[in-house]
Amino acid sequence: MTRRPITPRDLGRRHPDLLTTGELQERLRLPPPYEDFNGSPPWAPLSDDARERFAQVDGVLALGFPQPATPAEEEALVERFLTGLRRLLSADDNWAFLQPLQLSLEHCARCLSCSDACPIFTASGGEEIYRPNFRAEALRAFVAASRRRGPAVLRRLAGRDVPVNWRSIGRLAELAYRCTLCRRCAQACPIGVDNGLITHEIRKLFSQEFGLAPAELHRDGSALQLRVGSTTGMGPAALRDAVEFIDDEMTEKTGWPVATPIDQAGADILVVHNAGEFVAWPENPGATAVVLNAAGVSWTLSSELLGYDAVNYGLWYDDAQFARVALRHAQVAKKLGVKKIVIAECGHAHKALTVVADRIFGVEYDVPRESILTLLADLVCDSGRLKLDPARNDFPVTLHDPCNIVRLMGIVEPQRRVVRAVCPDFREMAPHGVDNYCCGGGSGFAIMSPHNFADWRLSVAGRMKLKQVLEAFADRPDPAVRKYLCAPCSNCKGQLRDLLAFYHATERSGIHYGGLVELVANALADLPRPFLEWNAAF
Amino acid sequence: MLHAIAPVLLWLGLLLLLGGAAAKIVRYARMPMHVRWELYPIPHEGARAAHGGSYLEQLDWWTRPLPHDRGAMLRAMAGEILLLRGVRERNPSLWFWSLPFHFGFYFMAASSLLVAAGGVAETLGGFRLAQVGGWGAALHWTTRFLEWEGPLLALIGTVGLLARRLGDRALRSYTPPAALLNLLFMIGILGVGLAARRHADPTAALLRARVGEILTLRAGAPAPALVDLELCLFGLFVGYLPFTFMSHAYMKFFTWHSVRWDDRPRRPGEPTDPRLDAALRRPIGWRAPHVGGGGGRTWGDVVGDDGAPAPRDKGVPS
Repeated sequence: MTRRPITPRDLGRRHPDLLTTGELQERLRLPPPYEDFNGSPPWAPLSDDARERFAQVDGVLALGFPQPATPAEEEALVERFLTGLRRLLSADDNWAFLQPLQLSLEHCARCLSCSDACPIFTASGGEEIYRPNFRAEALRAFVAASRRRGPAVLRRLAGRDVPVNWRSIGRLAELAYRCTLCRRCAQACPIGVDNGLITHEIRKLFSQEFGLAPAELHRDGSALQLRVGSTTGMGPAALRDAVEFIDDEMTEKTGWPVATPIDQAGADILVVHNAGEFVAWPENPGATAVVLNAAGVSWTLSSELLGYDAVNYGLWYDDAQFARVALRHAQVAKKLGVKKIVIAECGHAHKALTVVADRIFGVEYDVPRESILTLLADLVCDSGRLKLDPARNDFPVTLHDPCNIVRLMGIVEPQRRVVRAVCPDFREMAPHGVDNYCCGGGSGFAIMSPHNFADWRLSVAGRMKLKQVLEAFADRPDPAVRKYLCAPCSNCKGQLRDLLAFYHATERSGIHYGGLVELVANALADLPRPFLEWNAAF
Repeated sequence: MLHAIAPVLLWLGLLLLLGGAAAKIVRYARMPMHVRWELYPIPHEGARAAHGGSYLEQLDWWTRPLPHDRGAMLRAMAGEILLLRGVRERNPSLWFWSLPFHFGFYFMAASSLLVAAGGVAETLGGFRLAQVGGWGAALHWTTRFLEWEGPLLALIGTVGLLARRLGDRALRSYTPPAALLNLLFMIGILGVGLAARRHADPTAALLRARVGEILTLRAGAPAPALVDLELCLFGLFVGYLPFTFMSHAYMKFFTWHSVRWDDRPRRPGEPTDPRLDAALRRPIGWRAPHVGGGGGRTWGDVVGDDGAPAPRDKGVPS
C-alpha cells in the first residue's frame, strides 16, 4: 500500500495490486452493542484464482474484468474500450444521456463538495477510490486519452493522463460497481455535475460494448426477464400458482376471503409488483390484495410476460435492455385497457417506468403511471374507505426512503402521511426525505453476492444506513421491544434483510423490517387478528 | 509594445469569449433529446419544494395542473448565484473563499460592461463622464467603485482558494498543474488590475478611455503601461474562459434547467414527440451481442426485439 494519495493514474499500475489497504481501519464507527463490528475484518479474501484472473481494486469482486491472455488480446481490448468511449460520446449511440453526460464531464471544478455526501466514501473512512469524483476523474482522463488531441504533456498538465491498458480499464469497470447510483453526490454539487450518472455511463460502456455486466443484473436479470417474463424465472403459470397460494394464506391469516384479480379486463388499475415479492415477501402482495379489496378498488394483476414483474434492471447498466423492458410494460397495460399502472413497492421500478421511460413512450403506449404510495395515502388518509385502528401498530416505526422514489422522483410525503396515520410511534431517521442515505443495496447491489461482494455491501455500502436505523431507535434499545423498519422498496428490503442478519440487529436490538402496505393491513380495524407476525422477516 | 498588443489581445479575447460561449451553447442546445434525469428538491414545484416533493405525490397527477412556481425558481437561482447557497450548506469551508471570489468576478463583469459602455460613449460623444454630471457621474463613480472592489474581493477569494487547495491533502491531489496555473494567472490579473488602480488610474477613467478607443477602432493617445498590461491579461483570460470548466458560469443553465430541474412529463394524449421518432431512427453501433448494433440497425429496431441472449456475457462466476 502506497502512502501517497491514490490518483486515477494508479489505475494502470501493476503495483500495488490493490488500491486500498483492504483493512479499512477507519470505517464509520457503530454504537454499542455493535462495537465488535468496528474492528473486524471487512471481508473475506478472494481466492488466489480470482485474484489472478480478474482486475483488482480493493480485494472485492462484483463484476470481474478478466485479464487478457495475450498482448494481442490486450491490444484488441484497449481498442474496443476506446471505441466504446467514443460511442458513449456519440449522438447516435448515446442520445438518451449525451447532454447530461457531457455536462458532467466538462464542468467539474474538483472542489470535492461531493465527497462527504457519499455514504460509501464516508463509511469506508475516506478510502480514495470510493470518493465520488475518483471514478469520474478517471473517466475524464480516459476520454482525453481516447481523443488523442495535442501532446501528452498537456494532458499531464491538466491531470488527464491515465495509462490505457487492461488493468486500468478493468479497474474502471470494477469501480463502477462500488457506487449505488443514489446520486446524493449530485445533489451536493453546486455546479450540477452528476458523478452517479458518470458511473451509470461507465457501466453502460462495458455492458453495451463488451457484453460485460454482473450476471445477476443481465444474464439472470433483464435477459431472463425478457425471455421468460420475470427476473425470478417465474413464468405466467408459476405466477398464477404463487398468487393462488398467497390468496389462500391471506384468507387463512385474515379470515376474510381474499382473491387477487388477474387479467381482469375493464379494471381501473394494473398493479405491478417486483416479482421478487411473490417469492421472498409474499405478505406484501398479500397485504396489497387485502387493502385494495377492503377499499373496493377496481384493480388487477397481469399474467402477461413481464406484466407481473415491475423490475427493470437495465436502468442500472444498459439502455437497450432498459428500453425493451419499459416498452413491454407499457404494452401490457395498453392491452389490458386499464386507466393507469400503479407501481407497487419497488423503488427502481418507480423511477424506470414513471420518469426515465417517460420520453421514450409514444402515443401508442399512453398509460399513466402512479406510485402505490400515492394511492395508499389517498385510501388511508383521504378516501375514508378503510376502517383503521392505529393502536394496532403500537410499536416504534421508522421509515427508510428509497432513493429512486424520494430523491429521484420527489415522492416524499405520501408514505409519511400513511405512516403517521397508522403508526402512533413513528420516528424519522436523520437525515431523511430527499437527503436520505441509500440502504447500500441500490443499483442492483442488493441482489449481487458474487465472491465476497456481499461482505463489502454490508460492511461498507450499508453501514451508514444501519447506523441511521440504530440511531432512530436509540431511545428503545431493549431487543424485547419489537421495532419496525419500514422500507417501501423490494431491493431496499433485500439489503436491509441482509444488514439486519449480518449485524444481528434483530437479536441485539429487536429490529424487524417490512413494507408499507403491511402496516396498513395490520391497522385494519376489523381484522380478527394482527396481520404482522413478527418473524425476522414478515 | 504593450500599447500595440493590448487592442489585439482585447479584441481576440472578446471574440473568443463570445464565439466560444456561443459555440458551446449551440452545441449543447443541439444535442438530442435526453431522458428525464431530474433530482429533487426542485424549486418550481411550489409548496411541495419545501420537503423536496413533486407533482407525482398527487393521486392521478396527470389530471391536475403542473406546478411551475417561477418566483420560487428565481429565488432559488438568486440564492445559488448570489449567495452560493448550495456551497454554503454542503461545503462551508469552501464557501468562505468562494463567496468573495465569485462576488469579485460579478463586480468585475459589471464594471467591464460599464467601462465598455462608458468608454464607447465618451469616445463617440467627445465628453468625459465624470464631467457631465447626473447619469454620467453615477456611471463614473459606480465604475470606480467596482474597479476597486471587484479585483480586491476576487483576489482575496483566489488566494484563499489557492491556499485551501495547497493545504488540504485531498484537494491537492485533485489539483493538477493546470489548475494551479489558472489560479496563479488569476492572481496575476487581479494584482495587475489593482496595481493599475493604485499607481496609474485610480478612477478607471484612463482605462475607460482606452477601452473606448479600442472598441471604436480609433487610434488613441498613449495610456499608462499598467493599463495596457491589464487589458492584455484581461483579453487572455476571457479568451480561454469558455474552453475551461469556468464556463459553468453560463452552462449551469443546462446542468440545472435542462437536467436537474427538468421534470416536464409527457401527458397522456399528447402526440408522440417528434424528437423521439428522430432518436429511434438513429443508427446504433454498440457491439455487445445482446444489443446487436451495427449493420444499419437503428435504436427502433433494437428496442423492438427481445434482446438476444448474450453469449459473451461474462458475469462473475460465484
